[in-house]
Amino acid sequence: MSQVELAGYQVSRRSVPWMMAAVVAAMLPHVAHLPPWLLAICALCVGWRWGVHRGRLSYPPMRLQQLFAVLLIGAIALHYRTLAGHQAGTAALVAMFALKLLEMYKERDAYVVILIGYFVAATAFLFFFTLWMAAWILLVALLLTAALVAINASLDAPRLEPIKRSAMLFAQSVPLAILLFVVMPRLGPLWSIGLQPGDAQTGVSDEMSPGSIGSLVESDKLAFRVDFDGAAMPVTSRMYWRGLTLSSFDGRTWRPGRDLERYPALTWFPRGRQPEWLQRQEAARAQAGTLREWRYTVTLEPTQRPWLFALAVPYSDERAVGHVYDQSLRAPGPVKTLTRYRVISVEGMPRDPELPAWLRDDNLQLPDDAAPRARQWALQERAELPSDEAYAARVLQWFAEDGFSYTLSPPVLGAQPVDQFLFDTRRGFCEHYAGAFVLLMRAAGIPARVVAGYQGGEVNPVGGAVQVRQYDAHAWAEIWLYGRGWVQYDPTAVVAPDRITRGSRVALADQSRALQPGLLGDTPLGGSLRALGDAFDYLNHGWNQWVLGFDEQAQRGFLQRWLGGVSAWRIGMLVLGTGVAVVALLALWMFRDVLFRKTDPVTREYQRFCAGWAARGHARRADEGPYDYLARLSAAEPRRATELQRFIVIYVQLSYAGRAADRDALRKLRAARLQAC
Amino acid sequence: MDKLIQQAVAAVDTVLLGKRRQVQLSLACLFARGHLLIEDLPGMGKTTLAHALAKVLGLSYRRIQFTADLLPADVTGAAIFDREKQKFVFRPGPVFAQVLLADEINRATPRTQSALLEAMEERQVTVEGRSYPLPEPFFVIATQNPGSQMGTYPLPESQLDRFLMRIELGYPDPKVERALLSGEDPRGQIGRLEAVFTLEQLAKVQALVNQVHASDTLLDYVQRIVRQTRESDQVPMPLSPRGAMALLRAAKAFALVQGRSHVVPEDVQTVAPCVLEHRLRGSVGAGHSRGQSLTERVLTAVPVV
Repeated sequence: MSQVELAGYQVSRRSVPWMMAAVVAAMLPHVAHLPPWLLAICALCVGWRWGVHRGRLSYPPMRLQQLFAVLLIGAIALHYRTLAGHQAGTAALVAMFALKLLEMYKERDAYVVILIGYFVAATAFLFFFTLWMAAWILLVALLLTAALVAINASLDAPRLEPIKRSAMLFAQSVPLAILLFVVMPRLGPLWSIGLQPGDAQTGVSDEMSPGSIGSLVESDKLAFRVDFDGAAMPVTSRMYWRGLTLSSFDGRTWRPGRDLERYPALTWFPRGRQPEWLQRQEAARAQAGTLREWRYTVTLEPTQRPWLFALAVPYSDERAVGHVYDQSLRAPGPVKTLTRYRVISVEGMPRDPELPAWLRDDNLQLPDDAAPRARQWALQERAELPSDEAYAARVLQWFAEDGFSYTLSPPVLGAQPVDQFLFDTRRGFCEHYAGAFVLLMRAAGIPARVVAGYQGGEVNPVGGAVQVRQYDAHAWAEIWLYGRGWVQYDPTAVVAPDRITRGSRVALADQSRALQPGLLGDTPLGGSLRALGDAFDYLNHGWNQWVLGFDEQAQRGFLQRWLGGVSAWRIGMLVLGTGVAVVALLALWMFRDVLFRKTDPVTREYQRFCAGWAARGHARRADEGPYDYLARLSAAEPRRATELQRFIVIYVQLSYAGRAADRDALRKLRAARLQAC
Repeated sequence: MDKLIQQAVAAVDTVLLGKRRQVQLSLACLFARGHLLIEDLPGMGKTTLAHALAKVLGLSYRRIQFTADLLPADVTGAAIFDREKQKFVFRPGPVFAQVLLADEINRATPRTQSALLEAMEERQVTVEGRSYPLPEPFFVIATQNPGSQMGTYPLPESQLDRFLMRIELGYPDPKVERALLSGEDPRGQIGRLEAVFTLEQLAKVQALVNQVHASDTLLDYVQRIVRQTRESDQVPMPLSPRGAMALLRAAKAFALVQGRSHVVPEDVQTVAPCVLEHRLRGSVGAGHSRGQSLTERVLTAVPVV
């Protein structure tokens, strides 16, 4: 029977449920981004095909299907304004996938559906990269393969046979998959598509005007994760993850310093091209041997911004990490994928003990008409106090004692937002306090800047990584003091100490619904749910670290370490060696009975006897009993008959007649064998 | 005891010329308290063998010729009204014998067959609600024509299972056939056979079968055979635990007939075709097997050690 005839058969009824399950499972991840009308059509197609399977409906006429296909493509083109791009493309694929179900009548159609199914499943990775999605897609592939098995299974096979066989196939392919994952060269993409994450979660932005951080705090999405080398880490209240500094102020909005941008600030390794300021900073780092050093790896979620977050004073020798003059780190471009970078931070290292003039100007700049009342207050207070430090302390004391409060929903501020905040409303969050503090410093002639980043984080009890979430976003201040360089001040800390010591989740629990502990709260169930969440976080982190993070560079390092070099023949040998090992293991398993059958000393002696005679061309057939073998050997070598018989008789006595195989008997058996062989 | 056994073998051998192996096997079957099914074409000496066995074992012997119109009551007996006593009296049928030769068992209808087979299993007969125990010992030696012949009802698998062994006699070799042609009719010699065993001695031999030693090595081998029948895709009916026990029991009895007090793999291999073939094949191929038999295929695939 030819292949063509086979393909003309009706699809096996047993395979349809498997196929439907696989199709639905393959489509499910796309529910997140497909338009609802398309989802409804897909559901209709699936339901219709199920109706056909149950015998309640018949296949729609061919012409209707064709018309439908054309209409659908048109509708998708209209909806997305294009058919190119990953979103419209996937939508079209899923739509055609669903339609193909309606004409799935012959086996050939079923094969097409399954092959498209694998492809649809793979497209989910255009949108999601998590461990959970990978697990789900694995399940989809399992179901698709089960459907493939079911098409070819006999009708009387057990109901769950296809999925079992499919799981078996997957289990067998695991070693190969791991091997290919590890050694397959990471080819650069032949084409690439601009992938957007679902919603552009920007995290910290490069503009700060009251209100912009308030919207951030509501989100509990992960911003980044930090793995400290070893168990030691700073207490979370002292973890100030600096992102960027804002020193340009127009009376309402803080922006990065213009001169900082103009200065050749960004420096990339190799070190040969290090500017002089960075060399100085490195020299200081080398001298600061007695200071506390933190070494850690940051895994940053996509932000669409170039800022990299680190504790002060950071240093990284990675190629893709740049150093900015304000002691912050910068990526070469917007961070669009999960990014990992290693950082060494030296706590307490003096920064800019001597302030260059251009930087000084940048950090004293104030618009002439901004906040007249605040400036007047600043000049008065500074005049009464002996030092800049004392003045800064006075400002903090004012914030702490004069009715300032911390809130996420501050009143709207008018034309002079800082004055209005300082003297009228006195309600605000970190941005208000950081901005006002810096302005008050500058008004008194102290160079100051706003720092935007994250503060704190939670330590995951599973794995010990620090998780920093979007609601940890924070703004604070740095002022330059003579002889000390830049010193960090966090005015929010005096207004709402809880925000710093216990995290914004606690400090704002009554204000923000997103941050409330949840219905279960502190009940035991809530606790175990949190523990489960921690474990999931840890798993996902491992996935990010070992699977997603295994890029070309990691692969090169890995191969270097384990193969002692990357070359075609080494990789070839690894693949070959692993293949041989896998086959050998399988063979061991299949022939385990023969290989690992326990052999007693008597049987071993007999096998030696057999081997001896096999060498002389009289091998024992596997199914030949001892007496039959004896008869054959005696016929072949009549002169040895007596010795042969003696050995066989002793052997049978020991092996079959129940005589105890003690040492003496074994010695006799051995002697008889030596004579008979 | 061994002497008696060899004497019995020799005695039967004088009647059934040149079939020593089959004689040993059938004696082993009876020593193992098993029923025997002899399958071959008519005129091969089936009845002679059965008759000679009964004689040599010193047992009472009856014979039923199975035909298509034989009824269960013809086998088991029936209750008949006695005029003088004015009540029904049970008249035992031919099944009430120590050795029953059921000749051409596959010629009878399934109903009659099952009446006999029930008697074999239960060792008693139930008529009109009353049970009558059969004599002890009770052996059935059934003969059967190959299923391919016209007008036969092949025994179903479950009933084939009741027979410990199924043997074939086969044609005698030319020398033996010449002796048959030139000598006396063996049937006449049966009358001259004398009983070798007394009832007590037979019971002793049967008890001895249980004492034959089967070593762990040998049990391993038997289990490998059993597993092979279950894993091979060439075997239509894998061996049941009862089948496995039958194999071992037959091998023990055969070892005894061979004058040994322990079983060696050759014993298993010798009895295996008789014990296994009809169990593995089922009623589908109960007739003559062509080419390599299933049992041979199984045995070839299983290493002895």
